[in-house]
Amino acid sequence: MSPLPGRARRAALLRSFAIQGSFNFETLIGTGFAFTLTPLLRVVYRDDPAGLRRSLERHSALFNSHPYLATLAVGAVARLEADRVDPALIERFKAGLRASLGAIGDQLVWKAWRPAAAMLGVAMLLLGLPWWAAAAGFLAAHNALHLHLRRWGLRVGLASGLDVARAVREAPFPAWGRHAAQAGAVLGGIACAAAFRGVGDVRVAAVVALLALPLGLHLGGFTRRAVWAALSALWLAGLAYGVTTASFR
Amino acid sequence: MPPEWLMLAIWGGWVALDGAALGQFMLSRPLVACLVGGWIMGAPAEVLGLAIILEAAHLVVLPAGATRYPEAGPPAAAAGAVLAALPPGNAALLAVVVATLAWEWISGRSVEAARGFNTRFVANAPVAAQPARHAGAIAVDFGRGVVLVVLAALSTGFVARLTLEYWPLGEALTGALLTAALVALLAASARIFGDHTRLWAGGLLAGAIYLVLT
Repeated sequence: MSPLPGRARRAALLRSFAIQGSFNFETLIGTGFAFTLTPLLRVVYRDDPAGLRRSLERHSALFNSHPYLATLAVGAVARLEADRVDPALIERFKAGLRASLGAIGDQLVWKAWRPAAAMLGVAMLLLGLPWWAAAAGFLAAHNALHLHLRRWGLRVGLASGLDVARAVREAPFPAWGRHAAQAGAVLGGIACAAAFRGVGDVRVAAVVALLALPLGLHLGGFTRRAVWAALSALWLAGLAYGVTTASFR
Repeated sequence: MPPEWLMLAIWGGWVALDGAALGQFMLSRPLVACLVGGWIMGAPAEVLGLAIILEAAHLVVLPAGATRYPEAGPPAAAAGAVLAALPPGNAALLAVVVATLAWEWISGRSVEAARGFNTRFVANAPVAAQPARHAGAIAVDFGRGVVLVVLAALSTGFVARLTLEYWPLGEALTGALLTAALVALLAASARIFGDHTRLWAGGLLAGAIYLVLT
């Protein structure tokens, strides 16, 4: 197979940033997948408009992936189309990729890297660094991985085709996820301590620490709902009291 | 229309897109969306506490697959703008936090509605029409963000002003409540990163030592 031209690859990479643009409950990112793949398929089927149409119809069907790793599937499918692999085999290949790319991306990005980068930003703010530095630090840390994954995915997918599973197995994603989680845990602890900065009264700090820390540690993911419910109830009660006492003045 | 409101509307649309449809550079995270919302109104330093609380609250939200989840971007942008435009104080901060977390839920439901629209408008369209419809879906999502940020800003502003007028608790007590909320949310982060509780505790100790020394 002759390599797909750089212009088509760059166009596909650019389009990948919109792969979830029409996320829907029927095909998930299927329509976006076809949209991203189009520049590469136009090269593959440059002399066969009917073949291009049939190919796009196949690839706009149900598909899902972590958005940052979807380029791996895009590149691999483009390679298989260029090699004139049987469409039924390509569909089975895509079905196999769906679950793994979603799971890998969730573990590495949503559950480790992104929250670790967010903790970096939060800790920077709590420790008194300028707001723009904290925002920039978070964005730089997160997007270093984000942009690498998109480019890596397309390059490896195009090069590997059906052999893409080996490339994914050999990628250092589990180690990166582990290190990100470790860094995030340390930064989370630092941020939690730094949250007490500015609490002038030691007694207040002690009460907050004794009540809020165990609550958050115990509730985990349910803390958000608990905090919102508690703050809303306090706000409503306080406002009701304030309005009532103002009415009786 | 004041230019700040136009900038805020555009920023709201942009962060709505960045959440999923276009980019995903995490400009839609509360940390960034809120701070920039405050910057648009000329007082980013006044919204630091808000940005931290909203980001801490959003850490546990995982956008996995087609699950339902709160959407932070447009409400956080509105929150930053509203708080920056108000006199500084913990009463306003409390009101904005409460209103914004509610708006994040509403915003999440609007994402579901948009995805339902995409099912009819894009997925069920002829393949030849899908590229243009795909772009159309992105444009609709931008519009969704604009509407959300405007509605969230107006309603949150109203709630905050009402609170400023009638809030009975003092600054210190209100601040302590908000600190407790933040500490609980950050403590919850110990569970996000898997079985690294010792590292988290080590970070807590290091942070505490740093606070004492400085």
